[in-house]
Amino acid sequence: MYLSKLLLANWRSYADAHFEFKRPSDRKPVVLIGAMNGHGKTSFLISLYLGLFGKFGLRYCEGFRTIADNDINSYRRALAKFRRSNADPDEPTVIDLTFTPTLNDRGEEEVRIIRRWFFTGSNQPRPGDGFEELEIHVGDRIIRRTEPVSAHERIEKELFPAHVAPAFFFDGEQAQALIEGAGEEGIRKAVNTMFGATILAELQESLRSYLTRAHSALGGRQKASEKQDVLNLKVVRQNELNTLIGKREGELEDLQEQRDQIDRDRNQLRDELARAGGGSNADAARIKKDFKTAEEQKQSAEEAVTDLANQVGLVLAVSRLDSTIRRRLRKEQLREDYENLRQGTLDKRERVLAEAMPEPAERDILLGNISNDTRAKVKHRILKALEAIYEPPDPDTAEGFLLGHVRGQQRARVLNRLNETRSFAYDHVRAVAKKLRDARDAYEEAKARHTKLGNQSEETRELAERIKQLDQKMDEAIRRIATVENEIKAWKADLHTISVEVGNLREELARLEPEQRRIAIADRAARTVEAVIEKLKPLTGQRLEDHVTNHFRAIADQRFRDGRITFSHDGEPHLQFDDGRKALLSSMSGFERRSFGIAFSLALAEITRRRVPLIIDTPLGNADSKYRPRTLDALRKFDCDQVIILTHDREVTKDLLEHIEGHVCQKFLVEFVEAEKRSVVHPNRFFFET
Amino acid sequence: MKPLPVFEDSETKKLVQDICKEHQVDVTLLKDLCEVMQGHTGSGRKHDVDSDIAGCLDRFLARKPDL
Repeated sequence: MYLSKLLLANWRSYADAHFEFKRPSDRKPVVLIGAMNGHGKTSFLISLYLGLFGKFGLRYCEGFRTIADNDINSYRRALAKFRRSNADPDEPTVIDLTFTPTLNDRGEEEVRIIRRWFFTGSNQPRPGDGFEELEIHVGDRIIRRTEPVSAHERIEKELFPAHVAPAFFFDGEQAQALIEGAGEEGIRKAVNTMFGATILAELQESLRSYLTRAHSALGGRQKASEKQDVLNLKVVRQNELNTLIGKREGELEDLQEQRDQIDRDRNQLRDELARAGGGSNADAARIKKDFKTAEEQKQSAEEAVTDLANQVGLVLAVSRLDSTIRRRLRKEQLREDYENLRQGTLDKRERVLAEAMPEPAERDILLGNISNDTRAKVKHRILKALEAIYEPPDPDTAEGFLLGHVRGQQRARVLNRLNETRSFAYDHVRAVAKKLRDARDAYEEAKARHTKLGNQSEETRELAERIKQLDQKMDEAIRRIATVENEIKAWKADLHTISVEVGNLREELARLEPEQRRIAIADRAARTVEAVIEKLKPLTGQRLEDHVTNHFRAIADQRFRDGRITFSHDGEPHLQFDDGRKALLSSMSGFERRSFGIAFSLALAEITRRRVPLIIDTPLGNADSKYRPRTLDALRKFDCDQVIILTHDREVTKDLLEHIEGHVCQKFLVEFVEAEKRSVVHPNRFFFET
Repeated sequence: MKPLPVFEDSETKKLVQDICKEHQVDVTLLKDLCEVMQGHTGSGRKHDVDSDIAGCLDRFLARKPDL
């Protein structure tokens, strides 16, 4: 940045002065403004403080160093004092400054600040807010500010902070006093401010406030962090359980594999045992048991047969003669029927004869006349005929009664009983007989197996023993599998519970997450800023010492060039020599102290990397002929865009002008015209030139 | 807006870079936040500073989605 325009109206000795500065170049950064004492050099300088910073710039003006920012009355009085005494009351006092970016200020915009102060007819400051008016132009934009603090901050933002202005715009005679007046704290504050540490400190404070409010909005700092802690613990437990379950599942697989292997081995042995004709102990026990059972069942069946024989023996015995008896009984029935009929007829033969041939013959009307012989013959014939009435039974019919004790209806009952008994006995006997047969078959089979078992060899017994051991191993494997499965089941239940809790917590935290993440980053940023500020403090102090020392060595006498400027904690800067000697700045000569002031200002400007014009009122003062060129060279070599030197004719002498002529961009001569009671600006003129 | 000198000076720039790396934030976040503070200086709207800070943090999180 360079000061491209300065318009002063009714400002001290300036009625209406225009300074238009050319764009400086790297080779020619110097502007010389020559003015005799009282012609306008200091007015030019303090116009910068007040034009830029208003009431906040007043303290940098000679005679107002102790004024407070809020001391408006002093400010008004000062402005009344600075106002051109014979100004037209209707005309305001105006300072109009324009700072223009150079090629070194890429991205920057031109800044123009116009400050007007209004007065009454008696040239007293106008009361109230109407006293001062400010316009800020940034590029093409006009920003009007009536609120002084707000305007001040805006200007500081566009250009540089007010309290470092004395480092850029200073009176050579007072440079040392300004630095000393600021003290060590002021020096460090200035450095920190220009490095940006003040902004960093404000940022730190804002981040802390942000964090407090953000935590509060989330329901308190503890709430979210406690939830996060709980979540972390649960996630740890979740991972532990997953690990444990994973391990146990691995173990379970191994156990299951062992179990399967045992099963395979056991089956193999069983096959071997079967091939060897044996069985396992369990099989042997079963075979023995089966044999015993079969034996018992056989005995039981035999007893049942015996009982049955006792019960139905006669029936069975009779049943074997059933057909014969039944046939015999039927034949005897026929014979009995025949004999009964014949006997009945024979029993009635006397009555039949008596009817057929009544006796005596005389009463026989029909055959009474026949002889007794014939009569006897006829009687014999009738008797024969009676006997011929019934055919005797067939030859195979019973000729006699073997079962003569069973006659008539008794015979029929016997036959009926025979039928019933045969039916019952046959079914029962068949069932019992079948049971007996089955029991005998089962017994024989079991006996065969039992016999076979008893004949097992040593090899089969060994196989059976190994199978028994495998059975035990199998039982153990199954027991362990069950234990592990139960453990896994319990852990999975725990895991499920924890997973649900983790899910819920994550959901809660997810709702808080965007702000939570901002808080985390804000917290991190606050700690970063704190660390930067902490490390910046010693660095800036050291850097300041380095830079001041470099500039001081460039200006100061040979005997001071081995010293290093040091800002000790006692507040007074001093020169520290390698051999341990120490020289207080306050004990040095006037221009040596001024050299320090200039060096300090240059150092500040350098550290800030702000390309602010360097504007120095009477930098050389009472410097001797050796200090003068060194000081001017130090100024013109300084890495800034513009160096404006306000000087009188005894400072930059003709010889000295020739010394720096090659670096001078522009010259002005300001002359106070007594007749007009005002300072007049002559561009491109200087002392010693016509 | 001109960055703070602390971000431009070679020595302090390195210092800031190292500290940012240590704290796992990028220098851009710090620059953004400083710019917010500079923007609020003299603006008379300091009450909006929280939302601007939140904006910086969001941009940082967008640059570093894994954080």
